[in-house]
Amino acid sequence: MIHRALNIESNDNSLFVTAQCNNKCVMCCQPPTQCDDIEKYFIQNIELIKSAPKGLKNIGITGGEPTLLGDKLFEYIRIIREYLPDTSIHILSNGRIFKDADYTHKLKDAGGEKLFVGVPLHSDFINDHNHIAGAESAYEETITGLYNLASEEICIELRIVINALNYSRLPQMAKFIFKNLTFVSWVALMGMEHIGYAIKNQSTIWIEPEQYSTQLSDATLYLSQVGIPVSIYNVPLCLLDKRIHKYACQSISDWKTLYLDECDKCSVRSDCCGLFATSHRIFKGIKAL
Amino acid sequence: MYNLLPFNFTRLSNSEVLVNELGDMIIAPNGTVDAVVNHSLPSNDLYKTLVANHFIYEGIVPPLIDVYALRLRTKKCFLDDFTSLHIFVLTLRCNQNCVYCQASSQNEDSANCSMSKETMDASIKLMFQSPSKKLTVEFQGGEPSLMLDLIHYAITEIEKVNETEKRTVTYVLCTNCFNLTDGLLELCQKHNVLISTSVDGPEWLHNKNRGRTDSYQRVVANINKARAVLGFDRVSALQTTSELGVNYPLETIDEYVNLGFHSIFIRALNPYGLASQNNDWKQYTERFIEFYKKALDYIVEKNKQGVFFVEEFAVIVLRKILTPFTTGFVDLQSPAGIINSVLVYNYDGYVYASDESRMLAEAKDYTFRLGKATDDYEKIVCGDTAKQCAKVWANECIAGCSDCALKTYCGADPVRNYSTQGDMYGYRPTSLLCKKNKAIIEYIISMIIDRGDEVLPIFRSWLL
Amino acid sequence: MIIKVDRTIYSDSCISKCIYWLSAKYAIQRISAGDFEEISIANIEDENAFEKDFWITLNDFKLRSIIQEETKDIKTILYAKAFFNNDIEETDLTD
Repeated sequence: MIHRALNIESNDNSLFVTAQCNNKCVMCCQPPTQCDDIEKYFIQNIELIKSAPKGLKNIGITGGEPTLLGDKLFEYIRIIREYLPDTSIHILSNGRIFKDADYTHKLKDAGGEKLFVGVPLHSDFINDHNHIAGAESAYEETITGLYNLASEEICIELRIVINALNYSRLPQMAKFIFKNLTFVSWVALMGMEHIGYAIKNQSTIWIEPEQYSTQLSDATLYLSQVGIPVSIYNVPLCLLDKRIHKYACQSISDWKTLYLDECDKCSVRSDCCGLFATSHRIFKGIKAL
Repeated sequence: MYNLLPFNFTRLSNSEVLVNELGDMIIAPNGTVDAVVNHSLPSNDLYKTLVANHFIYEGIVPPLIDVYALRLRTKKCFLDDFTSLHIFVLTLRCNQNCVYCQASSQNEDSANCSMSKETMDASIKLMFQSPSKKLTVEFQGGEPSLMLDLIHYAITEIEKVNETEKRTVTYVLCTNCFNLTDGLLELCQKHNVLISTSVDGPEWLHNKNRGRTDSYQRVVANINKARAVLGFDRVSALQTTSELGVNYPLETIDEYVNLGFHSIFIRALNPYGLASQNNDWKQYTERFIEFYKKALDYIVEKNKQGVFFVEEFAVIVLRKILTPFTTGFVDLQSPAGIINSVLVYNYDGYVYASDESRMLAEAKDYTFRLGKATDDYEKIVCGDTAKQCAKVWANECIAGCSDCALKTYCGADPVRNYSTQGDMYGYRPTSLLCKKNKAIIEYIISMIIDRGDEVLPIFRSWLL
Repeated sequence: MIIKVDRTIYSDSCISKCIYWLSAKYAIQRISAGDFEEISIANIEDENAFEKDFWITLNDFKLRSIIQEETKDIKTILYAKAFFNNDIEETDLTD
């Protein structure tokens, strides 16, 4: 993992806190390791936090699975709060640990306001979710975790990485979210990055945005119609139905955004997220609009 | 291998409609229920949908059992706070003479049919014993605007008590808008009183129903006056479908749109007061159902043309079908809205279980009289009458309803059962309320089945 | 007309529920005859259509009864979980 200084101009300032994970997601872009790396990263990250510009808007905590740090995660948060009191903290977690209500409460205690947790949902159907997450009880634990986060009034970003195993149920997932997870702050529907496990498992999980265009449109419009804020990450505008352009975000970290030569001719390039420079495969059908 | 969760089903538009205890609805091809019940459902997309929507589950315990329980509680959360709607019937006096009057109104100068200050004092005391944090105070009649002094007195007293009680109090004045005086509007403005009025349809229809030639003109002028003083959206209107009006669905909707309203609550006549002299309720009910369907279709068309306009009864049903939330609408609740959600303090010094209950009392039937306004709160809400009602006020446990797939979307109404069928339990096969509610709910579901892509975005926009 | 119903297939409760809805319109007599029940219904206009509807309705009630039977316990658990409140005093509604 490359360590970059925290930069006030960047849209992506994240602390990488461990490479370990208790899920083994089929499309993971950062395949987990088992080595005990928590202390090593902690020492480096604390320096980063201390030297960070005070006006930093947002700081991410990512991995691996940050909650595997246990109570050490709260130490991170307390230090961030001490040095960067106005910065919002965005934790990316599979949410399973939050099935423990006490742990969730401690997170709220440490983080207070301006705390966001991004949690992935892979499917509305339990077996598909668990299969994609590569863990037996992931679904129940994540959903219980989401309820616990909600009862602590912690903002939740629900993340759906679209792959070949879940794209066909995007509209049903949207309905499931409204009915069962109404409390989420927003839903992010995300294109896949072709890196990590996504390469290894590409024959079963890779899918082109062109192929899921209908389902993505239906899910996005549904969520919007029922009043759940929705965003699309990582899919260039030329691969999206016009009706859902307004939900697309500049989601790709500036340091890994790629535009093709074709994109130079595009009239909406400045509004487009572009492509992952880190991706080993480029989406089909990129064309200037 | 899977297990079943509780659900029911019905057949509509050549499909099977599966509904679970949460009101979640699945449209499936014929034969689905049979396959589900016989445990022979293949592992296809429908299977996944049934699992994700809490109809079936794998394993010993449903993985989302706690989510299910929480959602079940949410669907009944209108019970959490107990009575929130408090209706004060200030007088039976009225300045109009409507053909369908449901409240046995008296002439403007009649004596002995208005509420005394003593009754008002006792009623306010009772209201504040309700545990609800939100109290809606609705002034009704007769025509309550004829009782300006009493309204003023009531609001002053309520505000005084509320200084220590600190409830959120909303005031609603149900008036025909025939005579909104400046003094009354000033009072409404000062205390944020909402005006709920009524327009029957086009001018000629409205005037004919009201037994006056100038009613429409005066009502519309006063609606505009109230809007100017109180704010445009502080005035809402309820519609009542008279026997004549039942022939004019499109004209009625157009009238509401033209008057600048963004919604209409389409209501059938009640079999109370003068209206019960109508001798063919069955025929009226059938015509009303047709009226409703045509009106709803027309409203959907209006929305497609870009006019945001809502039908409120459909909204209540749709909220139950399409969202995880519930509604506080007292006529479509189980347990019923009587006592649980509404109490009526009548001008005669007694407390009744509902608006319809006090209308029965005008015909000398005091079945739903809960007690005197001066009685103890416990005697009113837990007394013998309340206990009798409670035995039959949940549609989950009365014949004909408990096996109905639509029961989660509908409600129980012991008062209506009693007034139309002679007993609180009621008999569904001949119940016209059942017939009407079922027909309308089924029609809305059929629209979703047959024209989902077209109507669902509109319906969802009504629910935001 | 008379419809013969096999009581080893259809329970009393299924038949009763079916007949409840018909009883507004027809006079109906039920006679048990061993494993069968004979249901006689007077004054039907279109017997074929009536019989078809009757069996659909009866079968649907049977499907519902299977669901109810199979979900009885889980339903109790779900409602207990949803509405268990230790701060509410129960009021006895029996006379």
